[in-house]
Amino acid sequence: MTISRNLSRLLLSLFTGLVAAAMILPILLTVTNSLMTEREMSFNYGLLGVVTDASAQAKFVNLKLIPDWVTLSQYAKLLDSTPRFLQMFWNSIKLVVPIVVGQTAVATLAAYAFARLRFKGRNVLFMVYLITMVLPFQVTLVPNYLMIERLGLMNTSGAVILPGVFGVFGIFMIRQFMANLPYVYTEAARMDGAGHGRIFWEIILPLTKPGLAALVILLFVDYWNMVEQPLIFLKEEFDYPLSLYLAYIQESERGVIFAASVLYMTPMVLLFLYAESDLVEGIEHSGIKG
Amino acid sequence: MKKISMFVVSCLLIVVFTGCTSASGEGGTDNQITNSHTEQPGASTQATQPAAMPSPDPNKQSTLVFSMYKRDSYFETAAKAYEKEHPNTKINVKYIVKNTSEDISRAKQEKFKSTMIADFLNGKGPDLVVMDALPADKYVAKGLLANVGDMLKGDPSFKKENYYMNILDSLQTSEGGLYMLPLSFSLHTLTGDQQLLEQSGVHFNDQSWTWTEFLDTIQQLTAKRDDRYGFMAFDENNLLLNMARTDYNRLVDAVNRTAHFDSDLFLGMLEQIKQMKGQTVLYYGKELKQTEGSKGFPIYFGEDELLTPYQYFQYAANMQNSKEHSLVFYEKPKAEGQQPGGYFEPYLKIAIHAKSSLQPEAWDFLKFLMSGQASAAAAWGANDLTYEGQGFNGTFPISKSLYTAKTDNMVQAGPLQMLEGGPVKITEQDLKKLDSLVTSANKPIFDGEILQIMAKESPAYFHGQKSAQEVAKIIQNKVTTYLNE
Amino acid sequence: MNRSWVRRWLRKDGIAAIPFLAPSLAGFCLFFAVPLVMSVYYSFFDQVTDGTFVGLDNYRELLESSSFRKAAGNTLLFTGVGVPLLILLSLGLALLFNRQLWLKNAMKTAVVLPLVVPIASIVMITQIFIDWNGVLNAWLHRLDLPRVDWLNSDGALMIILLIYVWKNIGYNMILFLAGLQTIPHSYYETARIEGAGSLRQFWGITVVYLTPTLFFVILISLVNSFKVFRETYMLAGAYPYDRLYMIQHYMNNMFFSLDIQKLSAAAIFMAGFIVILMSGLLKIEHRFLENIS
Repeated sequence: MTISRNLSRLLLSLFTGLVAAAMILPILLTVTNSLMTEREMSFNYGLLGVVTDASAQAKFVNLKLIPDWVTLSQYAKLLDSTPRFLQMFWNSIKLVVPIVVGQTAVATLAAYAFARLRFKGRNVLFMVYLITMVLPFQVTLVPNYLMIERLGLMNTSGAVILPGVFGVFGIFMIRQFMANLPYVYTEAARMDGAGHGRIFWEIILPLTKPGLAALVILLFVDYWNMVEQPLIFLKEEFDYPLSLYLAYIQESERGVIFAASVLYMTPMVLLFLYAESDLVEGIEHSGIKG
Repeated sequence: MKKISMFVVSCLLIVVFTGCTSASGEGGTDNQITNSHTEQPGASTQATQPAAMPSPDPNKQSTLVFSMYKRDSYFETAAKAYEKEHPNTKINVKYIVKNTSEDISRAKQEKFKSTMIADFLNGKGPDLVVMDALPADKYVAKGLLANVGDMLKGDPSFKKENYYMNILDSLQTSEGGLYMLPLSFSLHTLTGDQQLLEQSGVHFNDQSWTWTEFLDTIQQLTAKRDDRYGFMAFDENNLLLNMARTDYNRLVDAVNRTAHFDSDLFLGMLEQIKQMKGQTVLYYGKELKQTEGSKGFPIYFGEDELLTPYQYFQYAANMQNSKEHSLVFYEKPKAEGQQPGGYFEPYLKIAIHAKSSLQPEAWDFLKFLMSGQASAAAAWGANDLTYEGQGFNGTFPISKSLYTAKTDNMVQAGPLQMLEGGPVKITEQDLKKLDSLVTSANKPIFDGEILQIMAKESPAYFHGQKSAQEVAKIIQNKVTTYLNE
Repeated sequence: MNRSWVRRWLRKDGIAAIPFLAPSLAGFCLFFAVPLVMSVYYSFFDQVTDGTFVGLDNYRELLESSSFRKAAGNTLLFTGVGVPLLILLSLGLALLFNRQLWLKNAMKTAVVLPLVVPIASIVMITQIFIDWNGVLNAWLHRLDLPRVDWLNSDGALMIILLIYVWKNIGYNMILFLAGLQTIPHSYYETARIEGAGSLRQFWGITVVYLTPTLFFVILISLVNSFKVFRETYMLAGAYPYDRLYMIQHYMNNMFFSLDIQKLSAAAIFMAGFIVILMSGLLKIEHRFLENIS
C-alpha cells in the first residue's frame, strides 16, 4: 500500500518535475546568459535580425546555456553606466506597492458587496466593471488623458497609482472567493444580529486569506510589468519605472538585457518564495475545513 | 426591471461624470490662459476662400505652445528673439527628447505620438507643432491642421518672392491645401561623371527619364566598357524605395484600397535590382572592381542627398581639382510623363493646430521662423561640415533671402578648406548651378507605412533567402491589410 | 415610479452595499466608467471634438473593413484555441500540485516564474529560437531542410500560442490552487466514507466546486490572451503575418491613425462579445451557486 503510493508519488513528482524544468528553461537561460561577457553575447547572438546572404556559408545563432567565462560584467555595466537603473527600480516599488495595497483594500470591500449582498443593478454594474478590464489601453486613452489632466494628475505618480488602486481585477478575484464561501458560515452571525461590517471583518475576510495572498502576488506581477500608463502619464525620465526600461530596451543594449531581466525579476521571485507558503500550507491548516 | 437598473447605472455615471468635469474644469482654467480669452478665428481659415488672417492684437498677452519631438536649439534661439520683438507673446517650446545622444528610443517616440494624439483629439493640442516625427497625412485627414497655405496667400506681408515657392507648392495636397511649412530641405540628386559620359556617346535625357530608361542607359554604358560600373547606389533597398516611390501610384491604389505588389511591375523591380547587382550597379561599402585600365573613379553615376550647400561646394571643389573627372548633377528618374524637376526632402515641417485660438499669433511666429531672421544669431559658418539631422543651420533654408545672404557670404569668405586637398575658390558659376538645382526641385520625397513594410521585407529577397514571389506576396498581404483597416 | 424603485432598492441590501461599494465606485467612475462612456459616445460621431452625429456609420465602416474582419477572425481563432488549451493544461498542473509531491514548492515556483520574466527577455529568447539565423533553423539545416521565416509562416501562430501558454500557465494555476483550497476537506471525507472512488470524488466534488473558479479563470485567460499582443507587436510589428493580425493590432493601428471613432466602435464590438459570453457564464454560475447553497 505505502510502496505503491510512494511509487505513484515518485512518478507524479518526476512528471511534474519534467514539466517544471521545461517551463523554467527560458528563465535558466536568462540567468546563465546574464553571466556572460558582452563579447560572448555578441559572438553568440550577434546574428539575430541580421539578413545574411544565402549564398554564403550557413551561420547560425549559438544558443549557450553555460557561458565560457562567468563574469558579473553585465551587472557591473548596468549599474555603472545606467545610473538610472537603481532609480527606476526604486520608482517601480514606489508605484507598485501603493497600488497593490490600495487595490487590495478597495477591491475586498467592493467584492463583498458584489458577492454577498443583493441589490438592484448589481449584475449590470458588474458587467460594466468587467468590460473595462478587457479593453486595451488605447481605447480609452484619449478620454482618460483628458480626465487625468482635468484632475490635475498629469505628470504625477497619482496618474499611475490612482487608476491602479481602482483597478477592477481584484474585485473579480475576491468576489469569486467570497461567492464560493457557503452561506452557512454567515447565517449564524446574521441570526445573532451582526451587521455586514462585522460579518465582513470577522468571518468573510479571514476566510478569504488564501485569495488575498494570491491577489497580492498577481497584482504585484501585473503592475510591476505595466508599461503604457507610466509612459504616457509620467513626464520625466527619472520617474519612469523599470518596466519601461525593459520594454523598450534597445538593440544596442542587448548585451545587458539578461542581467537587467534578472534584477527585474528578483523582487517578484522573492515575493513568490515568501508568499508561497502562505498560499498553500498556511491555508491547508487554516480554519477553512469548516 | 433590467431596463430600470440600466438606467440608474447610467444616471449614476452621468452624475459622477458631470460632477467631476465641472469641478475640475473650474480648477483647470487658471493654467489655461491660452484658451480662455480670445475670439475664434479658426472658422475663417477653414473656408475655401483664403481670408486675410487678422494680424495679432499687439496689446493681447498670449502664450504660444510650440511642440516638437526633439529639442532644437534654433527654435529656442528663435523663440527668444521673437519674444524680444513681441513682448506680449510668450513662446512655450515643448519637447520630449532633450539631446540627440539621450535616446531616439521607441518609448519616447511612442509617448510623443500618443500624447500628441490625445492632446489634438481633446482639442487642446499645441498651437504649433513640428510634424517630422508624426504621421502628417492622418492629422490632415482628420482636419486637425490649419491650412497654412491659405494664411500664406492671405497675408500681404508674406513676400512670396523671398521663398522657394517651388518647394512649398509641391507640398500641397491633391485638394490644393498646404498644411505644413518646412523650414529647410535637402536635395536628392544623381551625380554623373561628365567626361566619361560624354566620351561614351550614349544619349539620355535626365529631365524626363524613368527608372527603366535610366537603368537601360547604365546597361548601355557598361556594355561598352566592362571595367566600369553604371551606378553606385546606397543599397538595394534604397534603390527599390526610389523606384517604388516614383511608381507609387501604380503599386498602390488608395481610393480602391488595393495594392499591386504582386504585379509584374513590382516583381520586375525586384528582379532587375538583383540582376544588376555587382554587374552594373554597385552599392556603397562594396569593393570596386580592380582593373588595370580604369583610373580613379570608374563609375558613371552616383546618387547623393545634398543636405547642405557646403556639400555641393565640396563637389565643385573636386571638379576643379580633377582634370579628367568632373561631376555634374542630374535629375533622378521620375514617373512617366512627370514634369521635369528634382527631388527634395523637407525638414522641420511646422503645422498650426486647426483649433488653436491663437492662429494669428501662431502664423506670425511661423512666418518669423521661416524668414530665418533668428538664424543670424546662430551663424552659418563657412566651414559647417556636418548636418546633425536636427539643426536648422547649415541646411538649405526655405527662405531665399537667407540662402542668398549665406551663400554670398560663403563665396566672399574666400577659398574653402576641403576635407581633402587644398583650399578651393567658389565661383559665381558654381553658385548658379546650385541655384538651378534648388529652384527646379519639385518632387517631395515621402515615406509612409506602405514603403516601410516594403523596405522591411525586401532584403530577404536581395540576400537570396526567399524568392521574389514569396517576398512580393508577403508585402502584398500586409499592405492590403493596411489599406483596408 | 423612480422613487418606489429606489425604496425597493434600499429595502434590500442596497443601503448596506453603499459603504462597501462607494470607494471603488467613485474611483471606477473617474478612471474607467467615464472614459468608457465617452468612448461609446465617440463611436457615434465623426470626430472626437465638435463632431456631428453619424449614427451607426462607424460601425458600418468597421464591418466593411476586410482587415477588421480578418482581425476578428484571427482573434476568435487564437482565443478559441488558446484559452481552452491554457485552462486544460493549468488545471492539470494545479491538480498535480494539489497532491503529495516531492520538491513540490520548488517545482511550483518553477511553473509560476514565467509570469515575472520581462518582455525584453521573452522577445530575445524567442528571437534566438525563431530568427532566420536562429536555433530552430539551425536544427532544420542540420537535417538538410530549408530554413523557415517563422514569423511569416503559419507556424507564427503556434509561437505566439506557446508564449501565451507558457507565460500564463502559472497565473491560472495559482487561481486554481487557491480555488481548490476553498473546497472543504470534509466533503472528500464524507464522500470517502460513503464509498465514492477517486474518480467520482473528482467529478462530484473537485470539478463541481471548482466551477466558479473556472469562470473566473476563463475571464482572466481571455484578458491575458489580449495582453500577449505586446510580445506579438515587439516580435512582428504593427503589420504582422496575416494569421497574427489580431484585433489588438487593428485597434493599435487605428489609434495611431487617429481614428478614435473606429477604435471605439471596434472596442464596443469586442466588449459586446465579451458581455454576451460572460453573462452566459454568470447565469450558469448563479444557477450553480443556488444549487450548492
